[in-house]
Amino acid sequence: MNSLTCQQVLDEIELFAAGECDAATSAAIELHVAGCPGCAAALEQSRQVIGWVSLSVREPQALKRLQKRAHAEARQRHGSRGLFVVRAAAVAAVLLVTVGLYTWMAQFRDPERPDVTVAAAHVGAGQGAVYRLENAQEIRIESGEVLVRVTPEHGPFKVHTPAGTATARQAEFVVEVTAGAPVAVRVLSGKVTLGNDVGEIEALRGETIMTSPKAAPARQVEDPALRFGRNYSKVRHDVGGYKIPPYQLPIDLSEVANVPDLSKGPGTLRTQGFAVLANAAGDDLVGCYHGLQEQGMPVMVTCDSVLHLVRLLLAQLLTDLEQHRLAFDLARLTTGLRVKVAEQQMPEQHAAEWQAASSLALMYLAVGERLLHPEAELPTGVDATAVDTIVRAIEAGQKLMEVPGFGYAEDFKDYQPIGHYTGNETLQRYYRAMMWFGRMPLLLGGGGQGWRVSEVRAHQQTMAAALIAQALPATTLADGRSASTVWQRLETITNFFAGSAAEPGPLQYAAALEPPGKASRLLGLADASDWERFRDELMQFVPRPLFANVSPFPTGLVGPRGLRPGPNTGFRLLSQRFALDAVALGKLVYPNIGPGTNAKAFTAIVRSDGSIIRGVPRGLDLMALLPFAGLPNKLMYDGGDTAYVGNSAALSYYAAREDLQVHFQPWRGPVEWNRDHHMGWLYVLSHLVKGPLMRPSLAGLPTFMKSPTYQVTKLNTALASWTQLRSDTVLYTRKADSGAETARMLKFKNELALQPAPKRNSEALAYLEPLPDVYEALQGLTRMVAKELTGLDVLTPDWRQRLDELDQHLTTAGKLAWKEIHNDPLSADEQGTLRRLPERLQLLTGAASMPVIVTVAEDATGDWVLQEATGRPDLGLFVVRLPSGQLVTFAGPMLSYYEMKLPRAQALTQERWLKMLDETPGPARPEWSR
Amino acid sequence: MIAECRAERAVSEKNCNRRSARGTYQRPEPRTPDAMKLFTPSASLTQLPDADLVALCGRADKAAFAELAARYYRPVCAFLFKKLGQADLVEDLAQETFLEAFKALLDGRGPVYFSSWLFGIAHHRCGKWFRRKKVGLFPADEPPEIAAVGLVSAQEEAEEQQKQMTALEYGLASLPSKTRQLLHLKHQEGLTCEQIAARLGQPVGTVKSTLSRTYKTLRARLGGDS
Repeated sequence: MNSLTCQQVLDEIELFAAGECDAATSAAIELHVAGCPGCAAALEQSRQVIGWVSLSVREPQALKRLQKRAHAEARQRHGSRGLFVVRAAAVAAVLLVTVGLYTWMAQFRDPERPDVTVAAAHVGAGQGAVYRLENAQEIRIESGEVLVRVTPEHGPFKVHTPAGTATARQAEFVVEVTAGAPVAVRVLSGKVTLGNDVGEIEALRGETIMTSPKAAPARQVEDPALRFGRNYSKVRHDVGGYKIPPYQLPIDLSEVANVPDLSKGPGTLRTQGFAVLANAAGDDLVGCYHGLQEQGMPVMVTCDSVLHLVRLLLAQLLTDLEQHRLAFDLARLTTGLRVKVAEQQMPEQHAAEWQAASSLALMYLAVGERLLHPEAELPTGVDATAVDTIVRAIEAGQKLMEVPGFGYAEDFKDYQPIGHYTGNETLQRYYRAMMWFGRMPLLLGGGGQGWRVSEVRAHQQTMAAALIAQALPATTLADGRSASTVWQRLETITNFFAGSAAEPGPLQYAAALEPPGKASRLLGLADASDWERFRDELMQFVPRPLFANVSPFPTGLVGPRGLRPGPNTGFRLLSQRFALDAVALGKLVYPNIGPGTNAKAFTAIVRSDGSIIRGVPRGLDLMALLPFAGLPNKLMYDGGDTAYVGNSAALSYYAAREDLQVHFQPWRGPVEWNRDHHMGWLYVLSHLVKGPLMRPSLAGLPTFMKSPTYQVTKLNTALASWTQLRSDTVLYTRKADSGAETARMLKFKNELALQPAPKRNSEALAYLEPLPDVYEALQGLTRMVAKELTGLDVLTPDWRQRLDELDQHLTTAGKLAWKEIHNDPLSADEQGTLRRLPERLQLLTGAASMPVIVTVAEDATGDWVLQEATGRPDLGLFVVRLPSGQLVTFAGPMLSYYEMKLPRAQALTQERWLKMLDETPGPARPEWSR
Repeated sequence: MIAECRAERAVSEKNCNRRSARGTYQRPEPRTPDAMKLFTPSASLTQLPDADLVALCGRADKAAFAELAARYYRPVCAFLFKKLGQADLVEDLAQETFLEAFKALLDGRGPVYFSSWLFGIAHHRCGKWFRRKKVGLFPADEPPEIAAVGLVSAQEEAEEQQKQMTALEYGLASLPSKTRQLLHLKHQEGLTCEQIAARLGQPVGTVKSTLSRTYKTLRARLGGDS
């Protein structure tokens, strides 16, 4: 059938949607709809209407069926109440049947219906899985990819493969069996032992073991990102129900010991027991506490303060590491590698090719070296002019330019240091060099259109990468350390703070070059056929983002075979990272998401043709992905930010979010969440977002926590803290005391025209925002940071002590929060400790807080940017019922949060943002938080 | 805001009316007559608030469950349909949702707010299904004690759909009986146009054009309402 007009399509669209069109018409309609948004929308509507009609017509029948099933269920329950013996016998019978079933099922399973669960394990089939259950404790895998999750209660579970047997008591791991290749076992959590006639080896979370039938199993590429979870253990100071008696709302203010004069302020303090005064807490959180105490105001140590101060501490730890350790290590490593590569003897075969590859590798290293040390010597045989040109272009922040020697273009504008990297020259150099080694690839794939370089150049660049990968383990640095160790430490620390690498590096190249039990492939690499094989081998090790649709497995694992490199795939010495939140937000916009229906939504951008796209994501998108996030979901809906429908080319907002939600589920558990510092922080925030509403009962919660304003405020806190995480900048210099600041301090005092608290309480009154799970999650994360960095031997004694102290403070916070929840009175000493807590935390960081602004996303066209920011703190007022029964108003600072969608040209800088905050009226808060 | 809704909900549940938890969803008056006949909860049950019905369900009162099902079947379907877009699948998941809820009620795991909880379960089921679709290597654990994902937002989403389904209800009610019979054959009995034509002794073209026209009318009706 020829192509159809819109009218023809619309005439047939209902029948098409109902599946009543013939094949030819259907094909023609499909073709038309793919390219016509109008008809696609009509089709979507028709499908909806037909679906509804169908549901509606079948409702009576469905209800009847449901009633029958409910009857059956009730009958069964009723029957089961009586005879225990009967029931036990039945269980035994079921067991017998089950065992029988397994025997019967001892045949190869159909990959189409892959999963099976037995008492000791869940077995899930991935690509091409063929396996059989030997019995309830053992399976045999013939081929393909199989996931096994072993539960601890039922003893060891065995997985037999052609090359050996994997045994585990409590673990989650993936087994891959491919004909003609070693068997791979990748451990996601727990411990797995792999053994055969030749040997046995144990692997932990994040490790991969490989083995062939007649070779001892060996540990292979380890994903450092997965390692960290091993050092995480959940912190729990107490458990128990909330036991705080409620008070009556609205509050009879005569019953409150101290009543702020809020005649001009928000009335929610009376009606909800909680109120927020915007930007009323001065300039600085800790300063606010001083102000409150001077006035004799009872102090609420807010969760916001704790989060913020710990955030500052961790960010400063990173900066210190960068400046004093990483920059130095990177410089030594680069020099060492450059010397080693220059020394390497080139083979006689394909001498010219190897020579070219070697000088490219040297150039790659020399540029990095020069960025770190402007005086560094240039190795012989390297084009000095080219190196100079590149270094100058990077230092000048040159826009898109063809990089000499590499044959492709790169935008060096992004190599300009920002945030805390502008602080001093060491950090600036470190930033540029890390950008170079993180972004500039030695490409793996090439070709004509759609590739960055030709196939020949890709071959040459891969040979250069192989030379570097080969040199790394053989290099000893000037200070006697091995280059591998230093590289590993750089990689690990970066992993730890920012997530796992997005592109392959020396580890992956080395793994592909030296397959277990076989000779090195390096020499053959110059041959066309070996080069192809090497590329295939390497592709297995290429890290994939968490959200790649090819596999449900987390990032960094060995992937299925048969993947092809993309135009950007290639070697990076220290690749840039996958930031989980960035990847997720990137999926929740056009073109992944279909057209919108609400032009007023924050996320909507109206294009010149009138169509609405989800141009930018928003902070709430991320919050809505966290487990049990009820409120952000609702706020997104209210704001119209969910009103995007799917079509043949894109997903609806909900469908896209569902896809992502798989990766944010609660069952992932704290260990998986805390696989790096970035994710760990999101995990801490998830406790704020799920909030007390997710408790089975609201009884015993402090009354103010049930207030709607409070719920929204906590979401606000989570977003502000996320903004700080994203900005990853700590601003060390306290702002000079300008006139504006004094004026703000005055405003702060005036708004707090409080009646002084009764004298007898003025010493004793301090309260901690009772969110123990947040403090515990935070402590779990900071303990892991301390353990991991100690293990890497990068902490100075000073930092070790600081982290120890932080741990003590968080223990105090956790315990006191539980005490409050159990409605036990806090002693005067404990209250004193609480009052000093913010100051103590600040002393640890030695840094003052400042508002930050960060660009977190841009739309597909690059015309718009999404900026997230924090501003001057707000002041929260909380009416608390003390265990004595007395009602007291507490005050404490809270983080403020802003979100802006701006044309790129108007994107705000830090300086502009600080100015805006001092203007009247200041910038607007997100509509949902007003 | 959630807590506001909760407060409102608490009041509305106290008032013993037939409104659902958020106090904004009103069950459409023109219920399908045969559905009423099949599910004949006593008059007093229809007057009870959710919380009381939940308590009755805990004592294995099937009629109370029937009333809850009649109250929430359609909103839950609407909610699921929006996420899944396939009527068959929606029906299956709705059944599972209600059964899971019923089992939990029998176990005495009654929620504070039935509707939020129910939508939470539906949301979970949905998530489970999505995961299963992708080879489903990681089975979801049992839903948490209160499976409250999406809570109020789920209801909000459902309400929008609910409005449209109500409009559709009126649309269906105003169709001639022959057309209704046609829809019955198509959707309830799952016949194709050819089979329907054979059954009714009509030309296939007539059946198809009637069907197409009916859907168009309903779509126009909904378009106008939204």
